[in-house]
Amino acid sequence: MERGAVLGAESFVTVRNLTKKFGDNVILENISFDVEKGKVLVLCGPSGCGKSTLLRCINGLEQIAGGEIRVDGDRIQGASTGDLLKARLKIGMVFQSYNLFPHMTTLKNIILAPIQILKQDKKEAVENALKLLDMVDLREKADAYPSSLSGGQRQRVAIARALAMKPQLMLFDEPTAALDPEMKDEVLNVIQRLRTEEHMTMILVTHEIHFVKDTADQVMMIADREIVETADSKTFFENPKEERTKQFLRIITKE
Amino acid sequence: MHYTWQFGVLWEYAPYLAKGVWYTLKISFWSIFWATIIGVLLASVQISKSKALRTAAIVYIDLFRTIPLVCLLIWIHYVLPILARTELTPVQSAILALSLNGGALASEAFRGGMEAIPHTQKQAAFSLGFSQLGTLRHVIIPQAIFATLPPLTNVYITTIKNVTITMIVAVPEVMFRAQELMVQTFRPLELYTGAAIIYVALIVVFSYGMRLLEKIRKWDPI
Repeated sequence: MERGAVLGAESFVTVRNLTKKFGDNVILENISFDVEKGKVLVLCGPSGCGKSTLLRCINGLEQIAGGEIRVDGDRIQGASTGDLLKARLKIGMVFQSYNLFPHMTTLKNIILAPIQILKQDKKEAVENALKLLDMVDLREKADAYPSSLSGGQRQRVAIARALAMKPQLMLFDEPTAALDPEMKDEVLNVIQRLRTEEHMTMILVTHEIHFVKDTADQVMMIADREIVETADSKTFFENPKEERTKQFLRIITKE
Repeated sequence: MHYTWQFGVLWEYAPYLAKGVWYTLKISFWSIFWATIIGVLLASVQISKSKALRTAAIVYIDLFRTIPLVCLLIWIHYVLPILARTELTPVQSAILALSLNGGALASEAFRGGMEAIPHTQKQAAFSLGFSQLGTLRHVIIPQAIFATLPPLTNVYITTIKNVTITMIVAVPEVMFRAQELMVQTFRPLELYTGAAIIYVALIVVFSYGMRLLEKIRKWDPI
């Protein structure tokens, strides 16, 4: 099989020959892969390898120097501003630092975009938001401001906020990296349920090995600007082919 | 020191000084009003994509915050009317000079406020589908207003204090009247102290109002 390329009939995310530069500095080179609908891909690699950057490229938060990205057939690179905004509606994103809007309550954080962008009426948006808060087990925090929430709670609100837009693809950028072990589980459980109950297509950057083993369909190792190895999660952890992957696994399992 | 303070002179001329307060308030109000508008415009231009507009804003700011206010005021009152073949009343000159100067200072306060909002807030808004303008309106500006208030209060206070300078073009505000009365009564200590107290009182009340405005915020930054 071609290195890195997961060829599927029903590819939802398609990345072809992606090159990303910051100035003259090449961050990612010639990256190609696919994610099928309903599948979960995890990106691994040493810090600074460009995995978070790759994630941001997929919803057009970063410009790419070359190649092609399509999500559900929509071009992301080189799209007009209007087309990019439309394409982004299919993509939800969750950040390492939560990025809730501090000037709004939990509920307002969740209903802002559905009302302003999707033009839902307020009643419908609130009903939907309360359902999502039930799902992340935070209904009692609907009127709380983000500053009064714990990290784990903030991240769960951030997930609910992204889901309120009814995305078909969710991107998670190290969603638990800033959390205590207990709070990590709160957040990881929610993500796990997105997979088992909603069959959400997801791309995650994370180092939570146990979680990755249980949840990922594919794991992709990125280092030195390119894809080192892609495998299903069992093979990736138990029987990696590349020396670079083995070395990386030795380091993160030691932690 | 054997000076006998006679603050009675202030009471005697209180109505006359009070009329000066009216000028101070009027000039302060309009200067702050225009400085705020100029400031918002310049700050918005500075974060815009057009390089020409950004350069124009920077030239404006560097020009009007470096010209000493006295030079600016005298130039506007005595030179500008000749060049523009028009006439400006002292009050008009005062408002123009203080607005141009205050606008440059206010724009930096606004820019600082907007830049204080982390870039990640923009990313979150974009990822939810907001445009540049929607992000400014719903996410950046509502937060930036509060980040801007403390430095903006400084700019406004400076503007109020600078109204005293307008006495050099004969604006009959408090300081000007104190000097007028001093010539008649030979009571400089009482009159200048009184003028200072009036300005201090105005500014204390003003800053208290601005602090109340800061307290409207119900949320804490994270």
